[in-house]
Amino acid sequence: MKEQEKNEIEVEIREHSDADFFPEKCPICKMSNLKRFTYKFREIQDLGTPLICRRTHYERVYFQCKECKEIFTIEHPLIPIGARYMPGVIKYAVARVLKKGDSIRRVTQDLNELHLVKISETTVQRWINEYGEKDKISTDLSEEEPPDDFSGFLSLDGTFKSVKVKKNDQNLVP
Amino acid sequence: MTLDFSGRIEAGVNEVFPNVLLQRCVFHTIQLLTRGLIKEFAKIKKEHLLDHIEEWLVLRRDTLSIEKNEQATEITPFQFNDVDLAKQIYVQLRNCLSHNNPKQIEHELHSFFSTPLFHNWEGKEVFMAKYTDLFINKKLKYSVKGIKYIIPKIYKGFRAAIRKIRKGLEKSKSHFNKVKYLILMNPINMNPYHRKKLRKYLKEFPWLRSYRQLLVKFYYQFRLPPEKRSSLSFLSHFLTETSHSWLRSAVQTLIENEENVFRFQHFPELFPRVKFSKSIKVVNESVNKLVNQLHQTQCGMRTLENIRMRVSHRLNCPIIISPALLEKIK
Repeated sequence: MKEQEKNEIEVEIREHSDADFFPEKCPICKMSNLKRFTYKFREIQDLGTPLICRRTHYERVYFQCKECKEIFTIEHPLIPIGARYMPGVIKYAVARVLKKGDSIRRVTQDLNELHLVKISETTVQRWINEYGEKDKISTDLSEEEPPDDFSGFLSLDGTFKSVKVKKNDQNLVP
Repeated sequence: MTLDFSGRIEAGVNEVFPNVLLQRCVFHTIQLLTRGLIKEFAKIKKEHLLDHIEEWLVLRRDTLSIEKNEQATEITPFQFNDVDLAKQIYVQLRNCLSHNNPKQIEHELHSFFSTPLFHNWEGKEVFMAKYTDLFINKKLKYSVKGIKYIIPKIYKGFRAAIRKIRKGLEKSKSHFNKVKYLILMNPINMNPYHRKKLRKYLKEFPWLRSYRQLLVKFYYQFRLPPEKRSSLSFLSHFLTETSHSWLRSAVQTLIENEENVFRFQHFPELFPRVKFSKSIKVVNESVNKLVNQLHQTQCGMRTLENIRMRVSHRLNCPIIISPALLEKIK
């Protein structure tokens, strides 16, 4: 059954190359006498569906200036430098965890099983901490300006009680 | 600033913002009173229905244990008159059935059936139907052989009678459970279906009518303009000497905070430039719901940094954790 499912999965490959954005000038000497020096292929994972596995073949091209012999690269507009996952995958995981309130474990599972992206929980957690600006969120709001549409009215609810308390957050019980 | 009825929050606000105008959230006002009433209804249900049902069950258990073991002849005293009457009937039945001669048993039983004690008993119809059935359908006779079958059947008939009375009480209990939420409903939120049900149940529990009238009046105050509104002191009619402490405290708090509760009605006069919004009248409970959802998933809630990050992103606003709580965690 599983083999049958594996056979049904279609692999969709997109190809991107730095050569499509051939530089006009050398960043060092500003001369336009350039040539392709070498290249390296990388496979980048993208969000798929349960039946479509999406991968991007990215050709990282190294250029050389014929005048100053300098070897350099460019930044592809769709693919950040050093990326192993397409930006859409990161956006998806961050939105699910931070905006929708899903757990990291659940999102990782969905990415692996439903979107056919091979990823670990640690990687997703790293993205969340990075994009959620953990440790950077200000705790002192005394200097903060109120929002433009603030009516000047505050409402406070002091009777909130959580439904249940789990063993591992006994310390947080007031 | 709109607050709930938390004393600690109010104390904190008074310390941090000493000159701010405070008012009470309408949602929490209604919640406070309805919670008190739910407690009161639970108390009434226990005193009048649950304890009553329990006594019938105790009587049943006692009769069974007496019949099983002749030594245990004591029956628990009961506080409800009808249960006590049933107990007396049972004792009389046992006296009649304790004779050895079948004819004497028959004579004693028939003379007992004509006494006022038996006539006043609620379960007599069911009992007599079971009793006559023994001789008509089952064709038993008062003989030495027949009496062995008749005596257990008479006791069984008694238990059938008390079971019928208990079932009636259990039905009332079930209706009471339904009516108590209909009584507490805001008339605006009621459908014709609710009104029909409420009318039906109020016929069964006419004493609940006074609670409903007071509650309708209470809900109505929030829709009236300030000049037509009456004082909340009418809520004290809810109270009796034996009222539940929660209801007592709720009524007292509402009467004391009346001005703060209805301050939202004066809002346009006090702040003509500010656009009136629903959040001025009530505290936004949906925020609590979101935080609760996060807490239920329990993801990333184990360190303060994570809590701060997760909650502030979920609510899309910065959050402050009180220094007292921070100190407690350390």
